[in-house]
Amino acid sequence: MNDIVLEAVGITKRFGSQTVVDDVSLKVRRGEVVCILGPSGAGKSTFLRCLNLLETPEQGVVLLEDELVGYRNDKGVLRPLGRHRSSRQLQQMGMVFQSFNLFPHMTALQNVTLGLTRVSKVGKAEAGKRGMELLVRVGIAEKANARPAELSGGQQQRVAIARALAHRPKLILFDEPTSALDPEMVGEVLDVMRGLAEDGTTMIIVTHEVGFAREVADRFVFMEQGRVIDEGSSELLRSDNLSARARQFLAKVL
Amino acid sequence: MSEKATIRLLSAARRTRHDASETSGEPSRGHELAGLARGAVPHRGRQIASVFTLLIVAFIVQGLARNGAFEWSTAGDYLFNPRVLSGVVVALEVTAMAMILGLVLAVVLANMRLSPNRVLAAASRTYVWFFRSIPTIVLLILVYNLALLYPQISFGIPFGPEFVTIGTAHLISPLAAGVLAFGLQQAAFTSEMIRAAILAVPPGQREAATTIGMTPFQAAWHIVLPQAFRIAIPPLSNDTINMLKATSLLSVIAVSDITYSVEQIYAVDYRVIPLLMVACAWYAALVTLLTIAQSLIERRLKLGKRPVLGQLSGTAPIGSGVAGGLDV
Repeated sequence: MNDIVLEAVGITKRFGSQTVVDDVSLKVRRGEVVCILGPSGAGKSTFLRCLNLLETPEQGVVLLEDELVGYRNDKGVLRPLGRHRSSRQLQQMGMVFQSFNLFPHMTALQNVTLGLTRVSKVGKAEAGKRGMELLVRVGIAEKANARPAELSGGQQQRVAIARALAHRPKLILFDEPTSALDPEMVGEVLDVMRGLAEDGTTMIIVTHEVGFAREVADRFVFMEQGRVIDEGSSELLRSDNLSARARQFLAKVL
Repeated sequence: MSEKATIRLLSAARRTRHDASETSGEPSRGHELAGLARGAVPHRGRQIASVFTLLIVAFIVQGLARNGAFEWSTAGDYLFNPRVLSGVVVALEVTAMAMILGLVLAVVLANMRLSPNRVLAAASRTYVWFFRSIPTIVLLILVYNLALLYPQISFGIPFGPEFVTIGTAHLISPLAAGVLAFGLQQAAFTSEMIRAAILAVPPGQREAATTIGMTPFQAAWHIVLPQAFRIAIPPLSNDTINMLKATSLLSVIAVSDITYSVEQIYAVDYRVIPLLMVACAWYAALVTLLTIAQSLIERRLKLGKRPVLGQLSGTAPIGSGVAGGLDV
């Protein structure tokens, strides 16, 4: 097995006549943190959502550790997998949403353990133990029995990160995790993500926090109008190799 | 001297010594006024209206008490009459069973309606159209007389062999006809409520469920429906109350509900009004109980509190794209 965790090849997504993601490919190595930057409407989030099939791309495939995600190759035709099999694959990719999307009718702990008890059929006691460990890790154990409505935005997003970690996923997708937060709460969420990066978690992060991205990312992808316009290691940000448009974008957000 | 004139004089005086008061810290006129007690805002109109209201209430109470035709003591004698009590039990039974039947069918119908499959959606739409179009009382009589239409009901393979055949009249007692008619009709109305409630659950909820590895069915069962039911509880409670009152229609197919029971009694002794008062008292009492039950359930689920409702309609601020998919 090579060390490529996720490979997306030629992802193309259209909404009506508009091509939102245009032939985008990406390889992510184990333990790598990839940040996707770019202006609003560049197709960053849609590309991310194509990776775990929240959006069905018109073209292109996603491979998770060399395994085709959501489809099987039936003599040259890609046929959708059954629901159970594709669900099993998706649980190996955690996702953190911009708007948290915690389950409001459950406590913080239940939000984290639900996937373990209902999907992986882990026993209640064990799931509870693992759930608490994760809540400790995101620094919110004291709120285990609180409902999402009783938590601040930053706390909710940390619970959402714990939920995404529950299945020990092979990588985690972050879709603008701090964009819906009040400024004073951005820091606590970024701290948790920084910790994950240090622990070697593989992550793909769509973000507008360029400063944070510069600090944790191993690699950058710049997108504009559905295409990748620039790509490279963190040195790229400082180098003169950066394309004019990427430089323009950076100048605007910094 | 008028008040306005006083103020004008005082403010003129203050203008001249403005600087002095700033430096000496001497209390200003504003400070003096701020310390005064406040009188109540007069509400003459309300007071007059409330007197009139009290007069009307007194008039009604007197009318109820002094009109001998109500025969309150007779009504009291019949309040716990065994026939009336068994009518109360029947009303509650039919309400409960019809609502359960309606709810189960409604969830199925709502999901059919929301299905991308056109056959399923059209079937659900047709069902709702039919049962919403028929007046309840007509439906009740129709189901009651189903034996005229289909004398026998057989269980077997459709278009194939039949295993068991039962006379429809045996299978569908008047009580069962009531439950069936009410339940089938309720399903049509409830399915629209459930459908709206399912649509009111933010799409991000289903997406989040998908990302933790849930199948669409698991997501619907564990994530979407529990939230949809919380949204649907107030209108469902309303319908339960309406259902309870609709059981009075059962009297037309001779089911001994509350109304039929009192009718049976006054058909013999002609004490129409006191017995109708007995029926009114029971309906009011049962509706009161249901209302209390509703508020208990809502409190238990912490409904009606702003944060939770805000939560249900999506945790993201408006415009941030609740689905997360709006940012393309």
